[in-house]
Amino acid sequence: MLRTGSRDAIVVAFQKYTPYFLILPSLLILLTTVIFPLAYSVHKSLLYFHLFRPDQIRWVGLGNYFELLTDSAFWTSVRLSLLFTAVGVGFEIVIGVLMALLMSGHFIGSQAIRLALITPMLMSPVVTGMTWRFLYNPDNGVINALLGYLGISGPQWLSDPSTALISVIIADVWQWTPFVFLVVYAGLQNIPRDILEAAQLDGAGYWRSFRSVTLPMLKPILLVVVIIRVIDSIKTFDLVYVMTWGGPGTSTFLLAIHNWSIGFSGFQIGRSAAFSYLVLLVIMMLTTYLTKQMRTRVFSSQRVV
Amino acid sequence: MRRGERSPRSLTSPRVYRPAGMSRREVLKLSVAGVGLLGSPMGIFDARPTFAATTLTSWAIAGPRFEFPQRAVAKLFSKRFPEYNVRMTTSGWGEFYQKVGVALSSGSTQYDAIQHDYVVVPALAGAGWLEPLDDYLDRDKKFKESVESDIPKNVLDLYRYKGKLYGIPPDGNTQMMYYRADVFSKRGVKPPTTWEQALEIAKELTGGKQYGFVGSFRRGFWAYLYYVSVIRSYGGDLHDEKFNVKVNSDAGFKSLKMLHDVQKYGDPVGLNGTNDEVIKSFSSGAGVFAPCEWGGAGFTNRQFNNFAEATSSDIVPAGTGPGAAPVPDMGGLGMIMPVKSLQKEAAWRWIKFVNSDDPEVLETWVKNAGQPVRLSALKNPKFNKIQPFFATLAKSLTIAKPYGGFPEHGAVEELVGTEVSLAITGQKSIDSALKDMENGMKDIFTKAGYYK
Amino acid sequence: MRDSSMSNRVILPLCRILVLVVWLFPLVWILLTSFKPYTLVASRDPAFFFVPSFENYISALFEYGLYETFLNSLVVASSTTLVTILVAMPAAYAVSRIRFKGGPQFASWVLSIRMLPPIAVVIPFYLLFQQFRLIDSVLGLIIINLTVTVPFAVWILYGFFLEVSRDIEEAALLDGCGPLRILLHIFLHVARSGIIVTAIFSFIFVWNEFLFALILSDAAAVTAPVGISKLILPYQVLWGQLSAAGIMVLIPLLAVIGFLHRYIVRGMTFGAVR
Repeated sequence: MLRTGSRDAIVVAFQKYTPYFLILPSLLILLTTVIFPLAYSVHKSLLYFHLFRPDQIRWVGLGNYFELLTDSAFWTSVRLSLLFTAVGVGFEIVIGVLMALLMSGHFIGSQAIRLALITPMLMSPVVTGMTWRFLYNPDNGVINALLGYLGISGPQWLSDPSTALISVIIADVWQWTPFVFLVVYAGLQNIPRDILEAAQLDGAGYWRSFRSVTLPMLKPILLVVVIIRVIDSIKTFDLVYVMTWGGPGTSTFLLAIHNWSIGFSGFQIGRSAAFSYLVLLVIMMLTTYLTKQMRTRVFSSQRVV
Repeated sequence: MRRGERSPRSLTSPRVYRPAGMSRREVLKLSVAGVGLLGSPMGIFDARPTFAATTLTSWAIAGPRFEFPQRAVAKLFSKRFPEYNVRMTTSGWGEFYQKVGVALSSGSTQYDAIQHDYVVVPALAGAGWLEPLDDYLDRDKKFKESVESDIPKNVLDLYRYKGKLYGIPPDGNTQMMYYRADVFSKRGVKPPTTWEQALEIAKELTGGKQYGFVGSFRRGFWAYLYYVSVIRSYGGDLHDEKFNVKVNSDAGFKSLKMLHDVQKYGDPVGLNGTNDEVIKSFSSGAGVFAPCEWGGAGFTNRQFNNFAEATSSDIVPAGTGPGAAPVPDMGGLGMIMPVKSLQKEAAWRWIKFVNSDDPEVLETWVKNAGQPVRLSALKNPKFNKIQPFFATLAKSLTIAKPYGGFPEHGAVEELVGTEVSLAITGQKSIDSALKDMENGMKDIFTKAGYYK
Repeated sequence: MRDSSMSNRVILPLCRILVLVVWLFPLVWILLTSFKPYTLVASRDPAFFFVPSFENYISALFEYGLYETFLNSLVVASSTTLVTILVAMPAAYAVSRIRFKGGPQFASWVLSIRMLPPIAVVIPFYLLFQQFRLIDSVLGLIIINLTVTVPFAVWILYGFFLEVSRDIEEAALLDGCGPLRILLHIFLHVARSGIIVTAIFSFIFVWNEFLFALILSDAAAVTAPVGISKLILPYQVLWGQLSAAGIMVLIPLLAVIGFLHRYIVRGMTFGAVR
């Protein structure tokens, strides 16, 4: 029924608006669901708002933000979370790469072993945390029992303020190194054999060819992995929630458990919302920095994120 | 925890309700189409689907002691009153308070009865989210009399706010002392009545793989609860009724120092310990003395403690100095009714039934791991055979003191719990921990407007 | 070269065994624990040999109602994954292939949603869902999970789509194919591994998601992680049942991974290797 002219107009319009049609479904889902919660929490972050005191609600402007920024406890948590992320993600990358180098190629049961190795990252973090809390128990945990058989008196793990954070990091590394392993392993499969062989023909040893050929080719995926892990690591909640509740003292009081303590133990919704936006800021600064590294160093020609 | 008595189906009863009558298949279809959200009518503030008129919803903490006895009593309830059904909904203990807070603050009409901690009840009542129960109670003189005579007055009063009663407890708890009677008698030691004696016992019994003390000092909730009991045993308190902070006092210092000193001989697991770690310490034979842990079937139940038969209970030790007395913290969860409930009559019938002194109800409660607060039940020899700590609990309930009941209590809990943990682990001096507690509490109370 | 063959025969296998033992030990230990009665769980010396019993599994499934939660998790995770892929693919195609106003802004906005701590939005989500009668419904959980999985999927697929060679696409464009047909006929095929990996990661995420499911479910739509958290009682942790639940919750994921193993290895590079 349409005349050709208008039909062409529709086609042209469609082509012009095509990208918008394509992003429409996701935009719609995200906008309809996220806009209200975002607006709500931004608004609440500007109020003194205790969930049980509807009579006390009052406008404080940026007061919540200023209070947090001048609170030494907030900075303690920032420092702990950054330390947790740096050490944890660092170990995950190093061990993950070594593991991938070790486990690539064909050997007896290689497929099954690789499959088994990625199991930890499939576990729900609550279960991981509980498992490690159970293993670490100084009275009847299996780790100290096994160390005892070897004549070593094991540390107090989660009960000792000086070892608690590293104990949580170990659990985190245990769970997420397999993720790095998997990605790096996949990356290794994509490195053309002839390049490696050419390097070896040139007389480069294993270490040299790793450093001059393999590592540079892995760099792009490593950066993707680092960004994913950094975002999730700063947000780590479940592990400390079940293992230590941020203790002993404040030795594992990471950002997310600190926020839970404000918002869901103290029911200070306004303060907690402000806290969330400060955490968002920390994550954004970190990822912007990392993506900048990615753009300039790796994909000089490509537009990424 | 009697497995035989609950058939598996009872937990996934055929009455399980589906929101808005949606089957899983329908949900799947809808989600694939991606409509759902846009298609729903706006502005309806009621999440309740259309029930048969007689189904009411009761909310409890999951597991033994709360969920299990309620489920068992709910069956009995439907048998006695066929016109009612009880739909149980449960949440894990760690998240229950948060969920109830969010649901009630949002004006949800979903829930008709909730078994909730007395600590939170006055705050919820103060916000106007709970139905006062006095009028209902006045209708039934006989029931009222049995509640007021059998439930200790100090326990029932926990559920009062500004003169009105907002909850009736079918459950009670306090902190208690647990000790290995066999180890104590072998070493000729008697259960202590003061913390100074407790310290001596800790020194005496610690050695090799055995610890003469074990306490739950995990940061937050646990450390805070422990400290509240001990500072009061020394005649002090965190603050008075008018929120004048008095933690930085002689009693405050002595009690915190005591915990710091006694932990030197204690099982290190306690520094990150919940009640679970303490029970496991007992069960592994490491811990033999836990002067201030929460009641419950853990210590004296063969299923959880390998030395259950040898473990005895008593009331907590007292401090020393003026005003010293054994002061365990009060626990316990009562039945409350949200003001937005759409079936208040049915809810009241249920709350009354759960709290009744009917022997069959009480027996069902106890046999399904419930922990009653009616003194007649706690002193009942038949029930004492099932739960040997009931006699101590009855004694302890009458001396126990509540803490909390004001809306900012959670913030105080986090603050005090952190500082106590810092002091006991030696990361902070006792003096500065007390000072920080004091300043932190003053800050919280000032912002909440208590000093106007 | 002799050195390397020596190391290949002895040292490498030894290292492999060591890594395997260290990484699998915790898993083996909870597997053992799941077959123990509680008294052995809490005894001083770890028990390696005992008569296994399935009591913990039965108790977790039926006494603590995990059976229903597994079904819910399965429905929520699979439908969310399906919708995520359907919705994210066109968006990823648009931002990776077409230069248009607002495109980069859209991409970075999408990524920033993923960074937001969930605790900030869980209460407003509760209020919103109450308005729409979505509390305690499987549909509600699907919608809320989409807010996390869609940004993730758009972001990851974007990387994969950049990798697809432009030649095939240009040929198709010359033949008069529209973007949707290109997506269905070319990308679905060429970027298959990437799409499958994205789907698997969405599935794993939703399967293990805790906080949203905790606040927005109640009785009928409780998912497995929330069900598992009910095994942590006020004064005890039911370690036996918890271990059994931890093992059971892994099985569907292991099945998916085992089944799609081939694609995963190919797709795990997130499109970052060219």
